[in-house]
Amino acid sequence: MSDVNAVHVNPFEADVIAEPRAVRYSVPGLNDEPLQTLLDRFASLTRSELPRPPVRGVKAQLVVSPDAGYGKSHLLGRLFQKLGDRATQIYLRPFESAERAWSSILLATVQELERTGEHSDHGGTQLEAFAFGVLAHVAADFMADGAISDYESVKPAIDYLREHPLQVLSPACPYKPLNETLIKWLRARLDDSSDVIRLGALFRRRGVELDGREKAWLRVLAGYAFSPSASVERDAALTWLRGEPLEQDQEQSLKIRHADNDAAEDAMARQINDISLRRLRGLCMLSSYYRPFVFCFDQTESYGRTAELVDALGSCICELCDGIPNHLTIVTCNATNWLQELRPRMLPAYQARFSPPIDLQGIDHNQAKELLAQRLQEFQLGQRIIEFIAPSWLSSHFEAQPRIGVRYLLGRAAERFRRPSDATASPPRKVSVDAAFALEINKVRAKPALQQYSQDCLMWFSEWLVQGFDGVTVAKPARKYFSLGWEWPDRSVYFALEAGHNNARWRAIANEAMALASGARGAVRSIVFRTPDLKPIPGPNWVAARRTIDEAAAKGLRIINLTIDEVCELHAAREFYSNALQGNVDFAPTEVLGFLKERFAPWFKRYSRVQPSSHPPRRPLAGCDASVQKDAQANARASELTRAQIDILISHLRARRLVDIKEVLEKLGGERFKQALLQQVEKHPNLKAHAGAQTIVLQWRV
Amino acid sequence: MSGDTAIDVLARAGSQGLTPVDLAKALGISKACTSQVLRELKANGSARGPFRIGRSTRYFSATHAPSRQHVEDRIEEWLRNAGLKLTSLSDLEAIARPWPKAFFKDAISALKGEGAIVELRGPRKSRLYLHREPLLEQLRVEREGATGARELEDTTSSLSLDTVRSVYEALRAQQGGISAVTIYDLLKRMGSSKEELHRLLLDEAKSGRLTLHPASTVNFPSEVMEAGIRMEGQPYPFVTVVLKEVA
Repeated sequence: MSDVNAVHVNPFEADVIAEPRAVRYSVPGLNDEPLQTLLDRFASLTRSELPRPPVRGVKAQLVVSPDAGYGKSHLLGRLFQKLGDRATQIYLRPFESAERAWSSILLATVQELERTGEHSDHGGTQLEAFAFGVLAHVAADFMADGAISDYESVKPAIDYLREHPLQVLSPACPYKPLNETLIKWLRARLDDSSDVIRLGALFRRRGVELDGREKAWLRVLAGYAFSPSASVERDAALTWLRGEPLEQDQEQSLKIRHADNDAAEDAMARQINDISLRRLRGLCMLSSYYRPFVFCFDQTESYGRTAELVDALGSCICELCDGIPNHLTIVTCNATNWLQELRPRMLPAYQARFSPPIDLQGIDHNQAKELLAQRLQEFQLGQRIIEFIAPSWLSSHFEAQPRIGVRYLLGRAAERFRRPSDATASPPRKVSVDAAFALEINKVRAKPALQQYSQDCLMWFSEWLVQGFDGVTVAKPARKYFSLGWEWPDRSVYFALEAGHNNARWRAIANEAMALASGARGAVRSIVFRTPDLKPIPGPNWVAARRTIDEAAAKGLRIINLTIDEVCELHAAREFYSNALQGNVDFAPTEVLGFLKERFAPWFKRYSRVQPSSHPPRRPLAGCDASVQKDAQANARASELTRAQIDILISHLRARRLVDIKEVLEKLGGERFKQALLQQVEKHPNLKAHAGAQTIVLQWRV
Repeated sequence: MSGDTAIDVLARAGSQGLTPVDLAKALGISKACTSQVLRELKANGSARGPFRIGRSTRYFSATHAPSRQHVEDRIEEWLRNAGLKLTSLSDLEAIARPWPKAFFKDAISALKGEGAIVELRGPRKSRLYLHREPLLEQLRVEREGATGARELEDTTSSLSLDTVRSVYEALRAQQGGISAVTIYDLLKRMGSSKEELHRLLLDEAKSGRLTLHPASTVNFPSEVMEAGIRMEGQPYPFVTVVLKEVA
């Protein structure tokens, strides 16, 4: 109890789910019916044995809340928990550009596949498990198709391979000779031109259509699955899966044909979007051999900002329903947003791709009692339950109606928790917008998964947040890469979005930057943002591209490497605004937007400053100074905690239960371990990070 | 044991449907297996149920499953044929007996909402029903407007949840099945006084037959907000209402 007061953690303040995977507890009986409906729909995808024929035409499940705070994201979290390792779960934040919608969805999908599965014993990434699953069945089909002479005698072993692909194919396989022989055999089949054609044909026999790219898919998946992490093959496979073009050495490492390297180096946003859709369709098709996908479109209030975004959302749902198999798509929304902003702007054909609404319910008196008691217990405050949940106080919230919104209840409980027992004392002050934003930053900081590159966030910053700054006109020039610009009569700043590291594409970007500079009337700057999870540009072995980039840098190209602090701030800003749109915070969207515009004014100033072209930036090109680089190096060194540090962390938290992160960092060796520490907390089932406005508090959960 | 076999058996049973016990017998499987098969069939949309019909609980193949529309058609046909003779609620219940009970109240509400039938109050508040066609025939079509207005007055003076439900169902259908209907839309359609509707909604909310909700994430026009119910301690007025489904 004294700990709690010391660190100022209010057990009821966590009333917004920023990341559904964080959901651990749910009140028995609350919204069980909608959950069961979603589980039943999912069950229709997994009726037959693996490999399954592709299942198409499942409508998007429309989960509707009567207002904000009834548990939309919480329901998704419960669904994720229930489905466990039966589905690949993709949580989709709103996309910002209609012409890049599929690119955003694919990026989120590949980022998720690159994470370790939470619900599986397999220690590798989900993509590894996916690849093993596909390859195991294809290999088994090949053997059954006459590839081995005495099939009947080895049939039990083949069946075992089908049922336990991860155990047999993963490097952790206890039967090393079997594992090595099988992988060698499979690799030899993929290297043999006639065998690989036969293997590709087996996809079609199962109804899995990959637009003639069967061989490429096989080699990409094998390249990923059978190569160690951080290898050239894995990097190449991920590049291909993200719909980015491959370098020649990457092509060779995967042994794929040049024609299968189908992402153009010099491509328009629309072409990038098309290829993203093809990759996503391929992944979903191949999930016939593994497990279906679940795509969750949450925070849909954001789409209501423009008719174009609503139309793009409808078009994506339509394509998912009609053209992409093996997935359950869920769209959550508030009833009034759906009726006022989304539905009226959506074509009837798109509307027809949504299921009848699945309604969420409010919490009742008994469930409320249970939820509040659980929150107190989680913070070892069990002795305060009777005193806190006084019958008269709790009942007063249910006088008007027997069910109320969960967030409303938690809000009142949070107020009561902080209010001194003296009834005459003034009610707690409303938190300031500054403090609310600081809290949002710490929330992003506490969740490393929220810090990954997000083109939507960068687009939101450069297209939406900047509006109104210094009389800027936000333009959309018809350019391949620099398709967004800030324009003033005397100068222009253009932005390109590129997460890849293909040197030919970067040459094209640099060339376009130079063309922009030479064709403009005023001074020009062109900017490409990079985040710490992306590879540095230019690559270490680039020669010609480096020269072109240097040349472009002299004409205004800047590759801005955002620091992790900047990424957290930027991602938090979008999340804060999105929360305001969803009614998750006590501030109106306009108020939040006004605050953020002011807060980010120094950013706008910094990036809108156009230096004369005669002063090229000093190396490193990336625009980051020495201290930032040093910082990045320090971060890189502390990318993971050592076994000994993990032991210190666990024993300290187990003893203290609730501890300020600074205290833990002191024990681990300093601030530079912060990222690694938070990553460890995210992975550990008993650890939880609570974001506060001033700091992050770590908790040991029993 | 396979889903296909079970669906064949259900299809053969047609509009009679089958109880889980009958289905288990027909398939020669245990009760637990039958539940599993039925769950799967329901999940993929090829079977519907359970529907409580009389004393038994039945399942149907999707093509033969009863629907509210069946009940509505039957009631409408009966009342049209009855002409000006009033039909009691219990008589209508008897007519709808072959269908699941759950559909009956909804069918009556929907028919009233569409204006296909008229509900009248008899002695001791008994409910009596009449089809609109014989009624209009009797009153002559040209007097429909005046009659409609008088009928509306009658409705407002005896505002009940049933009256609200019929309008609510029509509005809900219009907005694609979304349950949250604005109080403003209800008021507009019903023509009742705001105070009277608010009083009814608050009473019914208290007893759990409906729920009231704010709309904190949408900027409604002022008239929609003004039609809402303001309550002490609530940051936003309640502007939408969700009626609990009739069991």
